[in-house]
Amino acid sequence: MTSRQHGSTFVLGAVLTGLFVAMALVALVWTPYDPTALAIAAKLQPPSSQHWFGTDQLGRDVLSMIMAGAKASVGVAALSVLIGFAAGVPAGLAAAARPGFLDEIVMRANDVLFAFPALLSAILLAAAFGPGAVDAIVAIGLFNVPVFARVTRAAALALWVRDFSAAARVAGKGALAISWEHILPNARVLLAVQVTIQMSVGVTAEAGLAYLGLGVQPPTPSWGRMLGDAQTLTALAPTLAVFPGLAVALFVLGLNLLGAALKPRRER
Amino acid sequence: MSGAPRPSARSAARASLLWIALVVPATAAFGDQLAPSGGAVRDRIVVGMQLEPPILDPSASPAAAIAEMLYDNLFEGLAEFGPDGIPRPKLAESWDISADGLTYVFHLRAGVRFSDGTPFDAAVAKFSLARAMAPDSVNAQRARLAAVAAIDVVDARTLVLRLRRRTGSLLEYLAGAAFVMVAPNTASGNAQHPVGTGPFRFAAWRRGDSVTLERNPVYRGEAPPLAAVTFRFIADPASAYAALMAGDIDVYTNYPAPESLAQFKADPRFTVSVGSTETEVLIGINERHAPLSDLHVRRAISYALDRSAIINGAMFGYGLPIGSHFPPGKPAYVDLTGRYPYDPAAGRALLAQAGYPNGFALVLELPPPAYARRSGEIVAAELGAIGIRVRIQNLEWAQWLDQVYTRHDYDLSIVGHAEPMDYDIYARDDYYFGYSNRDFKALIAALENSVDAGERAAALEAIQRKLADDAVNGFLFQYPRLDVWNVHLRGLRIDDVLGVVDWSAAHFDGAAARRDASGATQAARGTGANVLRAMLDAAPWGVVAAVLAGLAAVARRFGPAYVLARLAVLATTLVLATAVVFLVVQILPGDPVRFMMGLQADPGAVSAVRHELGLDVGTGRRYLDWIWGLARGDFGTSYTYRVPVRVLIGERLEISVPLAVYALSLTALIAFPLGLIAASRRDTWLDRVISVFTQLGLAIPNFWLGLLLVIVFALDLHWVAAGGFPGWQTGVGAALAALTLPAFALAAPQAAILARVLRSALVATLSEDYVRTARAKGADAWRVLWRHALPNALLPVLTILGLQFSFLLAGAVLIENVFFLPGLGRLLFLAILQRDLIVVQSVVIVLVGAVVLVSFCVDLAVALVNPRLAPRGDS
Repeated sequence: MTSRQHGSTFVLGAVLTGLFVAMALVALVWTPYDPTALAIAAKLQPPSSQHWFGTDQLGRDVLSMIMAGAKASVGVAALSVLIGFAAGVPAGLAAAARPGFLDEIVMRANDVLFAFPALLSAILLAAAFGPGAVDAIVAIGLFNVPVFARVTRAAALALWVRDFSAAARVAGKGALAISWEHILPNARVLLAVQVTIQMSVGVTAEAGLAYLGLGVQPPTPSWGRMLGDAQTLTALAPTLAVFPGLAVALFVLGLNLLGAALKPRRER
Repeated sequence: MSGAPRPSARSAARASLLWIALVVPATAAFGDQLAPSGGAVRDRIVVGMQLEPPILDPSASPAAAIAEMLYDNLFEGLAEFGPDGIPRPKLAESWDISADGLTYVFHLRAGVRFSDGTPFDAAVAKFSLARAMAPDSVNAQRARLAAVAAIDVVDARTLVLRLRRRTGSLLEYLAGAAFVMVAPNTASGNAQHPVGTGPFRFAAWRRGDSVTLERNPVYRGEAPPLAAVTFRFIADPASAYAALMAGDIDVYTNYPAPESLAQFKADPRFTVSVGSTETEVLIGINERHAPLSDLHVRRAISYALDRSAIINGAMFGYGLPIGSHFPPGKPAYVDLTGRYPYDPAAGRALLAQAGYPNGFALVLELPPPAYARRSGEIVAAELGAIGIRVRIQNLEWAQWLDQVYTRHDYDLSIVGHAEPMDYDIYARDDYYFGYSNRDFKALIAALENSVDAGERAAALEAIQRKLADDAVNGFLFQYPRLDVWNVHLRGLRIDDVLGVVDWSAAHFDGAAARRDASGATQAARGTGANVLRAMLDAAPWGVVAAVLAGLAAVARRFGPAYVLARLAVLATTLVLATAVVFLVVQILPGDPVRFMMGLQADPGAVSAVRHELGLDVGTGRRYLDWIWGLARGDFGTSYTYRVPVRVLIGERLEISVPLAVYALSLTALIAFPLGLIAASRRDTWLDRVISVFTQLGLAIPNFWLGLLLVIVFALDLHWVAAGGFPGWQTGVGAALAALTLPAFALAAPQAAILARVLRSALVATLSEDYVRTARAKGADAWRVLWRHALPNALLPVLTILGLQFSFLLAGAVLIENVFFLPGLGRLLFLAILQRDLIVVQSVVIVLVGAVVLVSFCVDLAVALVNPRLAPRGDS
């Protein structure tokens, strides 16, 4: 990839990601219509100047629902990444700093968690704790923990053998201080890339759970549930199945491009 | 930019062709198995139904799906309901009731035999009723025969029932599906292999997919025109729509998606029938909770409801408004919809009068059906208009039964009450409404005590008025009976009372489409299916042999200690995983037995089932039993289907494994050419176009892709079925055709990942020294890529492929839902919804085991082929 393409990848990724984050923020205070207000008489309207994306089977404005749905999507993905980051990164750093017993425990726990495919554990947890936004966050967040632990450990192990780590050790610094002052800052690019990847996994997983009815509950709008609701209406109002899916795909595309642009050059 | 010479585009294209040549014949070779059926008028049909019954014995489970399929068609009772809702003779030709209403004499029909040849007589009838009433009976309705003191066999054709007290509804009860006639020699096997007296007999049950009935050769009457009726279970309204439109099914009974009915009406290929049911959809109000115990508040709620808006919005105009708990159109119905007209101002005034001028907040619990979820959103908005702030909480059935129905922990809930003549529920103090009223109980007692038709009608009218006056619940609408079928299908008889369809006179007219929707043709049962079946049977042993060979190779190279250490890690992971799975499954809310036994279950029957399933022992004991069973290859018995879990999983693997393998082949087929071309034409426009494609592939969620594929290829183009799986026995071609769209939807994102991994691995190896050396020696650019770069780039590709296989196996839940394939993911999803805990934990552990084993094997394979890992003794 040339640097010019690299630049345009970054710009496109940032613009798409920014668009959806901004959409979620704007939806906190304003949407064109109340996304939960019903207008049965105006149901299933095609896109028009009043309703840019049309209305759904209960007469709600689809554009407003997509904007409000961005809140759920961004919120669930970001908070689940936060959980994975907050628990996984310290675990990975600790495992790299104390090879042996601690490393063994962290990696074995990881093996067990890793054996549960993401969607499987999310469905199981959502069923156990009842469907809802919080449960989707916890379920996806738990899946993120071993991912961050693995990435951090691998990066940290490589950094521990570098000269600056050895120098810090000679200077008498403890494992905690070295991890905090030298290892973590040097692993930040890799972690930033992983954050974008897990964000995009989170957005897709949130949509999938909501599609199965295990995510955000009505009347709060959610892209996945809009897709589920649209399935029976494909012939009456095909646009209903198009816009929410496009929203998921474009947001994920933005995050992926951002991650690709952030990657260190030799790994691209 | 790299300065390396690139292989020619022609050789890259040759490589792609090679890949296609390798994979396509394997799938295309079976294509000719798709033989058309034809000839005479069709005599087999496929019927779509929403729910699969857990078992096939209507006397042992109240699941409505059992009666919907088997009542009148396979099982028959002494009486049945006429079109007017009045019981009429069936296996009893006539009956006499004594003047005091305490003795019923039934004169049985002559010449009736069960489908296995067993004759039906008074002794068999006595056996059937006594079995349903017995103390250890699992019949959920056994309380309805509580007044029966004795059953006497007078002669082979005369049966006498003596009652302790008058039971005005006894004939209605006996016409229900719970008290059908069963034979003593086959009764215990009816759950899996039902034997009855009806025009059809049981042929096959493919769990998760379909039940097939066939013509009963020893039926007493005229043989039915249809040779076979297959009931396919398609729960999702969207899939039901797609399956009808695509012609996968001929009929859908109780069609769940009123929004798409207009399209079927406009389509000349379909007949649409709109009828009525005995189901009253209502807002259950918990009178035990403070503000709702106030009559003013309940009346305010009734004034807030705009029933026509609810029927329009939630049901697209289908359904009739009701003002009490009684179906319009039945004798003795009184129209009470004007009792509380839509009047939000009156509602607000009543709330203020009750001391809530600013309203209050409450929670509305909604079970899964679409009518409840949609009505709920509208009701929440309408109650909001009078100041009642409603929070919606969606529940699964098991949770609803546990939380709302059993523990009464709710404020409002919307559900349809389907049982005919179920007004007696308002006389039960422990019912979930919490309505307890002495006057109402007196009305019910008066009804039971009256045998005279006029007297009964007066009592029923008083019951309806009382319920409306007390605004016990928010009465919404009578659920419509919607059926859609192939316009060439004639003679369907729909019973509005029990909601069953009698198939004995159904037939296709002469112009019926030649295509057999069942897809089952003798011609298709070719050798291809047998070969594939043999391959499937042999596959596990092949895998075991390959793993053992791999282990031996690794042991030779790295030493036995290394292998033992790796096996120990594998075993530890698996044991820990069982503990995690068991703990998570234990906290799933909802009682499986409550779920199975339904709304009207008798407590004695519930505990009988609990004991039968071994659910009355402690948690620790159950874990140990499960683990010990797993170790012996025994997964336990499914609570819902009551067959070994091993059998269920085995059936599902026949779809899930081929689907995963198919998707993985497609993944490789798409990814290898793309990766090779992108790497060889690095930084050209071609590379960039491929990069755009792979980025898009990564971004599109697979279930959305599946949805779009169904719309285009099944609904618009009619190239393939919209979903479902015909079974391997119908021919490999048909089976693979059904798996093609799902496999593609699964494969596309994975192919994008793999293509990117392959490209970067190739690019990395192309700059290695040995590649430069090969080039310097004058090797053709293509040869360099193919012989030198690719083998080394395969390591990361192999690792990713291993991860992807487990993802494809486990991650197909969504895709199996989009295409309603009865695979492992769908089994798991339904088992969670049905609280079939033993199935949930066993399926999860099988999937987790597969993931662990596959990554273990991939690790070993990588260790074996990686030249950089030093063999033993070399270091």
